[in-house]
Amino acid sequence: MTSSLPDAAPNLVQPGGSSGVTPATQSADVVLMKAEWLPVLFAKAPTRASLLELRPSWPLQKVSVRVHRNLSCEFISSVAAPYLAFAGFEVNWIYGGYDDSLAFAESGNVDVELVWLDYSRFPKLTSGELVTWLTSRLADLRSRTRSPILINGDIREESDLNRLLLEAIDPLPGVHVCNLANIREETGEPLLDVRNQKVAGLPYSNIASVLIARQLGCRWLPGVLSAGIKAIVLDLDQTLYAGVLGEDGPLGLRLSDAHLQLQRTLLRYRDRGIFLAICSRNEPEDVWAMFSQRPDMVLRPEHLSAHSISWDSKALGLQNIAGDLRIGVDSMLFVDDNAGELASIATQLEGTRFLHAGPDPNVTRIALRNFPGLHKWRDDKTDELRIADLAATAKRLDAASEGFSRDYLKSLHATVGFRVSLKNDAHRLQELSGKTNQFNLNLRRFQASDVARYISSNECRAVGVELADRLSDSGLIAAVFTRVVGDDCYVDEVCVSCRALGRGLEDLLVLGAVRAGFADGSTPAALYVSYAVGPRNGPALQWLRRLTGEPLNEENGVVSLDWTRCSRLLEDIEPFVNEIKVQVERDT
Amino acid sequence: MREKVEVAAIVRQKLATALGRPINEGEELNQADEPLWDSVKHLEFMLMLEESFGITLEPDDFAAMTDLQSCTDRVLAQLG
Repeated sequence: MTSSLPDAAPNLVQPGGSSGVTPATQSADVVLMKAEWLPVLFAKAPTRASLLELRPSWPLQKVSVRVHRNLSCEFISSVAAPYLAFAGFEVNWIYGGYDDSLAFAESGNVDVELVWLDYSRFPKLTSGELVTWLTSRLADLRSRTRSPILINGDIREESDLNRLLLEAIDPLPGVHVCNLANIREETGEPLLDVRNQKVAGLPYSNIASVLIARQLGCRWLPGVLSAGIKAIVLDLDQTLYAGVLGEDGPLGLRLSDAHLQLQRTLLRYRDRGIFLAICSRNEPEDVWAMFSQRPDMVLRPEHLSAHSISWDSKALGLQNIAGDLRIGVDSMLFVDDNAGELASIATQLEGTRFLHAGPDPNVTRIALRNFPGLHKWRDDKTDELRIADLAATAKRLDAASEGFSRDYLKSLHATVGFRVSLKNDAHRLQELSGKTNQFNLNLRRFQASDVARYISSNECRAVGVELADRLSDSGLIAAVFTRVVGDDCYVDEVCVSCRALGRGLEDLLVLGAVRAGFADGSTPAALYVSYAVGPRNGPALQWLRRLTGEPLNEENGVVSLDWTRCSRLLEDIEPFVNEIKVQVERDT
Repeated sequence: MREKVEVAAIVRQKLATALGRPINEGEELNQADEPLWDSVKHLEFMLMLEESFGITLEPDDFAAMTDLQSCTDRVLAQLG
């Protein structure tokens, strides 16, 4: 039944490189060394000298970044190095010549294309004219590479270029604006320095360069190079407040302004779809009593999506929380004041990221604000839905535990929408490809430019699947990428968010998406499904095995499915779904 | 006021950080003879001196501070 994969669609580049990776497992030493770096990296005003003296002694992933610029970016990249090392990367910077015209003369594969401009060098153009020209140049660069493209915003406060640029580049897949307005929020010092401009062609002040480097190294580059964090798990004592609950009692705990700001930072992440959880060695009743007796705590129990409060090991607690949140431990950031304990956990849990909460909560807050893997380029509707959807999942599991049945499925009143190659879905489809681990059939980790090609090519389909039921609206929870070759359909990738699993709808979500790609009502003669065996995509492979009825013998392969049987599976489940909708992009 | 020897040691340390190589005590170093000491490293060195001593250097200082001795002297002059 296993067959070889025919040629890929001509416009599709096989993925590779470094995108979507999770930083390697950390040794205890690495965790401790990173903890020592924190007060330097995340000081309110880090100094260039102290940053340049930091030398990582842990393995780094080498990546290449080509810089298209008209200013001396070297003063930024030099101090970005320790931040990138903290994030697990060593960057080979490839600088082009100073070029106001953005001719993009340099070529060759790189992991990221970075466009960094001093916009004051275009005084004859209005912001609108400048953005129109920039957009055309970025579209040109987009057509030459599949790598992510980053471009800086304008650091000048009075500029309206940032807003216009954000709007203009929105349709360009995989192009992101590095928003320098954030820098203004971090310091009251001048951001521009005419002296540096005169001497070295650097318009920024020293502190501005350092703060830009911090965001470049911690937020922007990791934002396109590494897998995102889905949950922040917090210790309580000496982390969210000063004091030890078991010794000081609820009223003896000290909440400084910095602790309150730290908690507000956490809530902002929750608003953006990051789960918050608590992992603490305490008596559970003491913890809940603390919350009720300390109404001045900004973080409240209702903000928590999971918790592990017991005297068990924190490694076990984190695993339980990951299970409750239906995510991998490598999607979690654990914040704790005990560096030794973090180091110990690091040897037990693969890929979990750690932040040591030192004695200064301001450092922890700034570190959290900048922590690699937490940056999101844009907010989307799915982020808002994620937190509420998890709570609904618990209710579904309760219902299902009473006996999974078609009656249970019918009681959910599920509505499934298939969205075929809709340009507006591109960002979410790429996010699903990058983030989904358990139900990811081929682990291809598409770039935004790959998704764009599936959307725009006549032979390809990128089908997004949205799901709602009586308990919650889950939003766009699955992505299915297909190609039609002759009468056959090749399924190149299937990604289903774990939030959509466990409702018995997998056949409908995947096979229904394939069918929706044939908008004219035709059906494929044969269906070829690609898969790759990975460390954590067992649920996807199990689903495929069930459909084929045979084991998957190869590490990577393609299996053929009889479409008649697939149709029967769809017919079997559709009567129990409340509504099925199909929406197709009309202008492709 | 800081002792000259203390200032000289800090200046040497900052230049070593900028160049990414150790500089031995007593080693005379000037920009013309040190290939690592390019214009980028020079500004980086100047910015580090400003941070370390809490001073503000002028472009004229940048141009004149091309060896360890002149750097120490200019910093001392700024510190008053």
